[in-house]
Amino acid sequence: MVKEVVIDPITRLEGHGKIVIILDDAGNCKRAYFQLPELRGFEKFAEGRHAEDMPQITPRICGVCPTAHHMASTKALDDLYKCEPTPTARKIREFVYNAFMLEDHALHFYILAGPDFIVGPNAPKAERNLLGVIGKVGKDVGLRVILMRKKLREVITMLGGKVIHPVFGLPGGVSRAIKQDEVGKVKEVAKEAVEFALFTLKVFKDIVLSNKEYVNLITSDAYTHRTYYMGLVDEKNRLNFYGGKIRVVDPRGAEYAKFDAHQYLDYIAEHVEPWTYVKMPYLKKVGWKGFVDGEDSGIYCVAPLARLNVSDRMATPEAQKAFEEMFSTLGKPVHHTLATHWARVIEMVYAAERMKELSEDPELYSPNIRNLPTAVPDVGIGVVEAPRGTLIHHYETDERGVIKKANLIVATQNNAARIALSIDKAARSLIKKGKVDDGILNMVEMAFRAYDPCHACATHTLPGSMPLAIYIYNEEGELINILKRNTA
Amino acid sequence: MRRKPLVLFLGNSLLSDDRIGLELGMRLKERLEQRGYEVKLEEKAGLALLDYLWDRDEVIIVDNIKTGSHQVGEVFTPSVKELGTTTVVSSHYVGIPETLYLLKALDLNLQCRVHIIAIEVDDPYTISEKLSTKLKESLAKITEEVYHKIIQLCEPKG
Repeated sequence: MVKEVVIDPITRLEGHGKIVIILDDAGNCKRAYFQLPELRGFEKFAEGRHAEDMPQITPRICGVCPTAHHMASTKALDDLYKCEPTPTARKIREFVYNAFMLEDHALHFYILAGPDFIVGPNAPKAERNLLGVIGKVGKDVGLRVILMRKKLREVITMLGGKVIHPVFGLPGGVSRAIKQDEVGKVKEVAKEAVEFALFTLKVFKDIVLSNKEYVNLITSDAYTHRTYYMGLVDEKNRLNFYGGKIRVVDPRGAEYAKFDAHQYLDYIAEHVEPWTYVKMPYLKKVGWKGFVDGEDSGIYCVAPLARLNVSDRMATPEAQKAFEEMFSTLGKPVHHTLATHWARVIEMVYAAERMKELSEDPELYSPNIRNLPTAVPDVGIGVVEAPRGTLIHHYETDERGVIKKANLIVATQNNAARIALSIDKAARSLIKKGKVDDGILNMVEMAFRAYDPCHACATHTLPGSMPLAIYIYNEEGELINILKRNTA
Repeated sequence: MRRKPLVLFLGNSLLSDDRIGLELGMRLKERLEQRGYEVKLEEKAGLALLDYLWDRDEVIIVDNIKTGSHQVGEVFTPSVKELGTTTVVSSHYVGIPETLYLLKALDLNLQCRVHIIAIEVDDPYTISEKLSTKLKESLAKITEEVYHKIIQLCEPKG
């Protein structure tokens, strides 16, 4: 039977990740449940507040992806006040947003996925960390990542006011135009971003794709689910982080639906399970059939892999080449959760190329940055692709713009059912005869690490690691072991 | 030339006790600045703190913690080692220890002294602009304790 591992001091365990594993008489995993913290009461908190404050309030939900909330909220205000941004404002927003996506994806690839795919999933625990990643790729690469990230943040700060909790989005536009003396910096950072993204793609190919063991892991059945996929696409069904329509493809890759953000409630319903507070969105018309994949199950997936699965092609040349390479290697749609890391790197290339395209567009530098709202507000819905998937903000207000009702579907929530499915499948595949050691635990964690789950309550409190407790029960429901890890 | 010590008060203004660092920063900013410190109040997370931690001589981080092994409101100074782990599952769980390890690994802040002042809290999870009752009652006492800890750490006698 498993050996108990307890790491002290236990911090922030309350409300945090918990996996419950039920073993059968032979010690094999019969069922695994993954419980996540839920965003507690933000919609209630929003009621009675002025909608125009939401782009400043909602980014505080999270210290890691505030720009996504700021942008979704700003777009909801455009809609609420029936006031489209000017072409320049839209382009400035999109430039900032792509800079944010690139920075966030780079962080995930090098810092979070790195220990699994650069150091290796079976490497000793002591090496599966940041130091291990730097040891493998070298300090020069580490420095390059940090410096690129710094430059991206500087340009976001310059255009957005602040990196964390940006303040530039207004209904109908943005708060400031790009100044003449800032043009050079915008162009320089965009150019460097493309070089950096292509370099990262090379790192991924050299280290991950050239390693047969990693490729086998990515394509293994333990990490494969044939679900629906959702993401924003433009009018040519190309990936777009900022706008467009929500497209859903079925497990065969055929278009199941394509709809405007205003119709999201026609397509998405939420299922409640007795063992978690997280509501699990599913495709309403397909229905909730439990934690199973396949065409009859309404479980869907968002985030990088889903976005590429719903796109017919990419809008930029180098990203298109990388897109073709991934799908010619793995087929389309790709159902392997761990291929999310590959998709993320392709999205980095797209984000950087899009920044460069925008930086070369004279309209980006026009002073025409705002249409003034004049309509009486009622309902506003905004959607963007956050790094971790489709993010929807929905506000209903009185005629003064005071919020009567708010609904947020955050990216990780969209993925909640698929994450639960991933954990269960990985645990069933990997836990045999009661053996649950650190290596197996890491492999189970890998099943949800690919999604980069977003838990707003962990913004920055001192210990950054996610405390995770694994409770193991026998078939009679008796608790036979608790494993605790990453508890600082 | 040696730069002013930087005191970073961290927190999330919308997550109940998670805002304690910001509350303390608002109360202590003027006093500390008059004494020659640079003071920042930030809602930044994890690796976003890199910008503050490199190219510095001395940084004091004031933030909340929930260990369950201290009294709510207790002020203490854990070492980075005590806090730390370097395996993370999401960018939302990259914390100060990971950030410091990264800087160290890249030789970016070898000269910097980093002190951590932690305040044990009760509820850093609920969305609220108010501190929990227990913490609110001890706010004045915590403020003075944190102030004196900063002085003690950065201005050793003699």
